[in-house]
Amino acid sequence: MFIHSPCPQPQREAVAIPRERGTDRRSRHGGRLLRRYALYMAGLLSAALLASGGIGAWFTYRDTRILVDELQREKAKAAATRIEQFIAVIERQLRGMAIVRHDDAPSIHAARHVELVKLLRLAPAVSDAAWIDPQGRERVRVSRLDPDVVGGAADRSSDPGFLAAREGRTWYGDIEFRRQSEPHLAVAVPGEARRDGVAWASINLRFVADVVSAIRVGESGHAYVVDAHGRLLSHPDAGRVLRATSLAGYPQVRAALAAPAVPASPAPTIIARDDGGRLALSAHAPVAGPGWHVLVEQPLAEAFAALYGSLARAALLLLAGIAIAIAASVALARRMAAPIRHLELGAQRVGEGQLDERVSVATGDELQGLAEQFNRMADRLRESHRNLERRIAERTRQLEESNRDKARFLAAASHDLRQPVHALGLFVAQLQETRDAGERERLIDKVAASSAAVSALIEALLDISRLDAGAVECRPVDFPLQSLFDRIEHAFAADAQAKGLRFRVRPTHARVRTDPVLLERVLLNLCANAIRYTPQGGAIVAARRRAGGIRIEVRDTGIGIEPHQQPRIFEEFYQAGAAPDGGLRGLGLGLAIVERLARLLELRVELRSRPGRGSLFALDVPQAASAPGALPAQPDPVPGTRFAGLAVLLIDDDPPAREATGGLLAQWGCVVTIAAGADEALGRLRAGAAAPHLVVCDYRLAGGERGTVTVAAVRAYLQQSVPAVIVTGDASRDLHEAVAAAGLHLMHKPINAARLRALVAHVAAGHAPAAMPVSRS
Amino acid sequence: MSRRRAFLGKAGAGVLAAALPGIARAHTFRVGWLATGTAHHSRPFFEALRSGLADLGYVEGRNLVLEARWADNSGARTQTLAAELVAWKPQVIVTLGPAAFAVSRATTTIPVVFGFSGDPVIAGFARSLARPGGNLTGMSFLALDLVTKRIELLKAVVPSARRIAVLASVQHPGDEAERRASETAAAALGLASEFFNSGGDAPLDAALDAIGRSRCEAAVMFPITAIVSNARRIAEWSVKHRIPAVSGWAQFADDGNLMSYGANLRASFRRLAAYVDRILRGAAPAELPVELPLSVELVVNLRAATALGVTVPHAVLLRADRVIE
Repeated sequence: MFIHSPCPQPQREAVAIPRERGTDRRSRHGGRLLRRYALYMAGLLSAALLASGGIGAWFTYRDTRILVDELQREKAKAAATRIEQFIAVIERQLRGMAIVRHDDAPSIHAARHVELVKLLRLAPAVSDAAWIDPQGRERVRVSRLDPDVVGGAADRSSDPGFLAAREGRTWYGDIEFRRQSEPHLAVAVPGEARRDGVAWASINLRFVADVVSAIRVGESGHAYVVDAHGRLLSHPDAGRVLRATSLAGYPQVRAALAAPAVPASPAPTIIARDDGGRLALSAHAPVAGPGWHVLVEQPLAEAFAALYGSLARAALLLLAGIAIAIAASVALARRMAAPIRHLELGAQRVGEGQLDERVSVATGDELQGLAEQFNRMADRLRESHRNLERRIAERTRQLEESNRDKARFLAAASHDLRQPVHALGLFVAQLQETRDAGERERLIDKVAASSAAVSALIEALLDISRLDAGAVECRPVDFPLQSLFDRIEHAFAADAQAKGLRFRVRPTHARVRTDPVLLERVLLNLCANAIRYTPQGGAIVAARRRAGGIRIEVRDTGIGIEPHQQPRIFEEFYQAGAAPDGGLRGLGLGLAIVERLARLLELRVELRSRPGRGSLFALDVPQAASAPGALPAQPDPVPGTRFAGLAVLLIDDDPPAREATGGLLAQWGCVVTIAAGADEALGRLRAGAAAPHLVVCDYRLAGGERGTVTVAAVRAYLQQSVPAVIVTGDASRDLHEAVAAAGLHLMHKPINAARLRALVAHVAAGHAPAAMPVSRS
Repeated sequence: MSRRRAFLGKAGAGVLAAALPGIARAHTFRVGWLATGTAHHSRPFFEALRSGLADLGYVEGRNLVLEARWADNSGARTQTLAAELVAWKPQVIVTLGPAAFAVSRATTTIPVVFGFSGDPVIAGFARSLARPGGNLTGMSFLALDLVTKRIELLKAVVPSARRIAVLASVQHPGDEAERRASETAAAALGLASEFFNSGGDAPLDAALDAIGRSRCEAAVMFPITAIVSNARRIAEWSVKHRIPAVSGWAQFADDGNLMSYGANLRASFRRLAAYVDRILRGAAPAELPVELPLSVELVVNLRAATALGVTVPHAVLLRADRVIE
């Protein structure tokens, strides 16, 4: 029989990340990182550039403003100086005219007249001039329009000009707008000495316009002059002057008028609207003498042209700088992001299962370190992946082997089962046809033997199954070995005697620590083999102390085992050789069970054997921690004991099974009540059936009923925990635990008559039944 | 492509126009000129105006059309020419002498820039010198103000004179004021004066004859086109009758008379070009103040003095801006 199992392949598809999703994620993150880097760097650089540009611009503005202001003030000062010079020249000429000294009175007036006429020639701006004698009489007068006066005596003694000049200082009169249009300034100048009198002149200020017009302030700036009342005296546009305009309302003029005559610090420039309504930069300077003010104005756009130019240049440079910064940032961000993208791509490919993918980043920094780490990780991943594949292959191979083993095991088991079953069939057929009582007796013995063989085989198979399923637990306890030895001797004494063999169990005082039931089964199997394969001589079981433990030996003088067979004798259904007595062949399962039990007990089975001379199986068992006084061994129930009156409740839904078991129990003298399930059992108890001393219950009952539940119902009805045994063909560990949890005992099908009897005896003696069934092969 | 080229062309023109000074635009200005006197006599002032305009960037044939008219001292002709010029619709009309009257009658909208001997306020051209208030503005040549000074100068040269003749051409409002001012001035200087009118129906020769017949020892002649344009004839008459004459325009002395004292007309007409410029740039004549001439010049003709047998005193020569020898 072959169980076909497909070789399990590692499922690559399940591991692989869908490509599309991966690509999607990469593009999303990669772009974002680049953008963020670029944004941060560009922002930082731009901010720095802006800050430095702003500070630079501010300083440029301040410095240029200072320069422009200074320039404007200088212009104003220069204009003031020129106007002062213009007046000073006339003053000098006037003073010179006054110093004309002759004794002759009439001729001095003529001479003075000539001097005044000369003055008119020299100074075109003077429209009238006069000489006033020290007494305040106007002696000589010349005019461009009016008749001249020579030797006159007009009284000017109360003229403010005369009075001021007589005090020795130059006097400047108020502005007179002749014909409400032409501005004229009256000036009185004293001579050197008192007798020189006072020279007086009226100056046409339109001539100042030439001075003012000559002052160039940039392209479209201009200068103008106001008097102490803010009236416009001179302007490049003569018409404005002739209209006798007052500019006292202009803020820059107000500031100029309010400025002290001798400013402590440079007068601040003012930004105000000029005549044209444009914003202009205005500076002013006082004109010493007449108390005028020169204002110099230049449209702001022009005055600050250089400033605007440099600011525009700075802004342009700043823009260029920012553009470069952004470009550099993007480039830098690319450079920084590229290795990360590399890594990400690599990680993505590895994630998609391309374990051979490697990332090469040569930046010489942490990123390179990261890439190297990543590559190492990928190496490890590939290695472990290969390991996994290797292990899977190994495991697959093992599984295949195990399957082959199972198939072989099943083939062997079915073959070994078929033999006795086939024999059984033949014996039963003969029995039906035979009328002879002796012959029938002989055939019934054969049937019983065949049945026992089948039962033993199934028992052994179940044991192996249980052991392989892990359903058997190892419960180590300290116990005296002698009790175990007593049971061994008792079990095999009769068989050995029947075969004419000597069977000895050497008494011992040793105490060991291990599971006594499992150890007993090991020894039972070993002794059974020893008896079976020993045609003459005998077998001996002995224990001896060794370092760290007790060595238990089972030695025989049997046929022995060939050295090449020795490694295989623990395999299932392996039989090294035919039993010498032919008929009584073993099942080939004993040593397989021994091997499994020893593994469970963590013991090593040692084999020494020579063909034809015998075999020695040895076990090293741990010594018990302490050695208290030996408990008296519990004598086994004697076979054939009658359990008269012991009430047993047998629950099984399978009629043949319950008839066989019930018949057996009845033979032993038990009062057996039979039921198919819980309902029937309780019905019978209610109907007056004897209260059972023992319940034997099948696990799987009709209608999905579970034996554990059935027993619980019976116990509930009886209101006492009557001893109970669950019988089952199921070897699972779960069932084992469920039964143990319910405080029940477990027997595996098919039921061994001897074991059932032992259990019943145990209950009859007032004990709980022995825990574990033992396979006897 | 073509649209693009057209745009470029336009843009180029725009740039070019912006690059040139404002007055040098493709626009051509029309300026009219009307003088009361003859072309021969008035041309120097016209040329002064033209030169002044050229200095300011107005060049005939490029951006300026100058239409000049000369009335040859005919009142009727002046009126006709004024109407003609107004019909031509110039941006500005410049007048010399009494032609301003004719033009001011012909238009109240076209700006007029005048060079006028008399007082423009009395003549009715302007409400005040500072703010003319109408469509006329220009320069006043101080005819009235200088009358006294001329008489004074004449008296300085001819100290023996007791009686002087005043020759004028009374045609317009203001002329009468000039006559009165002359009489007052003469009286102030202790001189008797006699008024002669050459205007209207009275021809110049008749007036001159009348003066010759009178007991006047010197003559003050008003600086008006009608008189100054006949300066040469007057000079001959002056020497013949031994009557020294003084007037206001330098041309008067240049043409053989003793003296002239008055505004420098050439300079004044150069200055009037600035008025034209301001008006062409959009200024309102009403807001352009009437100016008085800055320079008043004295021209003395010593040859005429010799011919007349007079001696020009030192004080007068000192004053002279120009002496003709």
